[in-house]
Amino acid sequence: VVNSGPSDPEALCEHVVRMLLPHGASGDDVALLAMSHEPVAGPRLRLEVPADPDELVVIRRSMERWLATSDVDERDAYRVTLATNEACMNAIEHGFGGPATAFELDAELTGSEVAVVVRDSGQWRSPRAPGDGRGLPMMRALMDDVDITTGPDGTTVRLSRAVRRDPFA
Amino acid sequence: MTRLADLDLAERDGVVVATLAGELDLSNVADVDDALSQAAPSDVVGLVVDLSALRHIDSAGIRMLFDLHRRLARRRQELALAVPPRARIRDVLELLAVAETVPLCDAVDKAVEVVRAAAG
Repeated sequence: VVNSGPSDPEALCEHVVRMLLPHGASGDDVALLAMSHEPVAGPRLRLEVPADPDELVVIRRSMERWLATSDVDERDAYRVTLATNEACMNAIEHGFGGPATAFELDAELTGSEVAVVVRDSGQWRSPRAPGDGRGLPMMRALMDDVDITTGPDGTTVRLSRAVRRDPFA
Repeated sequence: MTRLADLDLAERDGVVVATLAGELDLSNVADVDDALSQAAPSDVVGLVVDLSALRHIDSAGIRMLFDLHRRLARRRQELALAVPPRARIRDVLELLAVAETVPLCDAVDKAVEVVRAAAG
């Protein structure tokens, strides 16, 4: 039993292998699986995401899981997830293939209000966005409040919406 | 056909029916666009895209549908979409007023009729 070791899964694997096989691997292969458990429930969800379109589905799943475990009504959860997807799509456009390779997603639930902040280090380009400028009206229709701040350090999109919460759903 | 979406093709009364299942987003929209464009050769009267098994579509996917509609119209081919009235993605289609440009039907049968009627 390993009582202490690095918390990073890869470093932990190396640590365990070094402890079990101090003289290196023998003729047989050694397979070791490390899993880290990160709860997504709680009033807050924070993610640092690579600016890659393949990450969008990961973001949607994380949002859906977080909102479901927070007992947010399914239809409201869908709308918030969809708006977040649009904001992240823009952040990915800003960073994709450029020097800005990651962006931040910070979602918080206070009472019956969800607030989502998507922060990247690129410039807002609404008319040339992948949705051809449809992303912003979509976010506005899905959320109560949409605020976009563009500065020299990047673009921050703030979304908020009142949601129904049903612990018995 | 992509990690997130599956596309199935069939022909009904000279109309190609493409059933798109799964999720359509920025990661696979170009591949799906290519596949749909190739699905409608110039000898068919038009294309029906059945979205009843599509769980996610966003502004990138809607843009693709508008572009596809425009390209088909240039070849005098009609595009119609089939989406059940209670489908979750119907919200997005209504939000972006898709039906003002592309015929939106509750079922595939109706969409095939619409395409055939438009072809005369």
